[in-house]
Amino acid sequence: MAIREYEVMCILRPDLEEDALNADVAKIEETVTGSEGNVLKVDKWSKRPLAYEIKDYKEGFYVIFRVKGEKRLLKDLNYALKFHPDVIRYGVLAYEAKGAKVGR
Amino acid sequence: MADRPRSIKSFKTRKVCQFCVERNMPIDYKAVLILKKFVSDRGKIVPRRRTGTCASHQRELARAIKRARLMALLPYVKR
Repeated sequence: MAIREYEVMCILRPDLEEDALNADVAKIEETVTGSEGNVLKVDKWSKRPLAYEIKDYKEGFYVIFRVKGEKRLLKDLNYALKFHPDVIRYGVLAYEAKGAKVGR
Repeated sequence: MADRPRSIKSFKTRKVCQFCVERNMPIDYKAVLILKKFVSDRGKIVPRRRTGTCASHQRELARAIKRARLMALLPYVKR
């Protein structure tokens, strides 16, 4: 199976405490390592306003993960994020070679 | 003898693709400040004929804007 890099962006509930936020991030990282993936980078943005309301929230914590793993990782990650109570929106993208050009 | 007045057409400045000029300007759904320049005040994607973006970059740009909308970084509609 091909090992690929993915970029995962999550929006977490804005009313989380600092500790709860860190716990959630750690839990998501655990999900990745649990399905034989690696977390390459975690980028936490500060709380920022949403362009439109999601689940009645007007702002959210943005966290971006760069992960590496097999296809199974995607399945587990999708499942974990979909039913995570604190994640109000998430997106998983293949981190393309083109995406790597971002910092060129 | 004065020159004939130039036609209106020739006054138009030729627009160039900003992404071709500035090679290190990323087209990324996370770079909201850049994407915002290519979105109208209503939140619509500005057409190529108005921004001068080249075809391949416009395609990339449209994809990035749509991704940004999904992640609530950019609005779908702005009133």
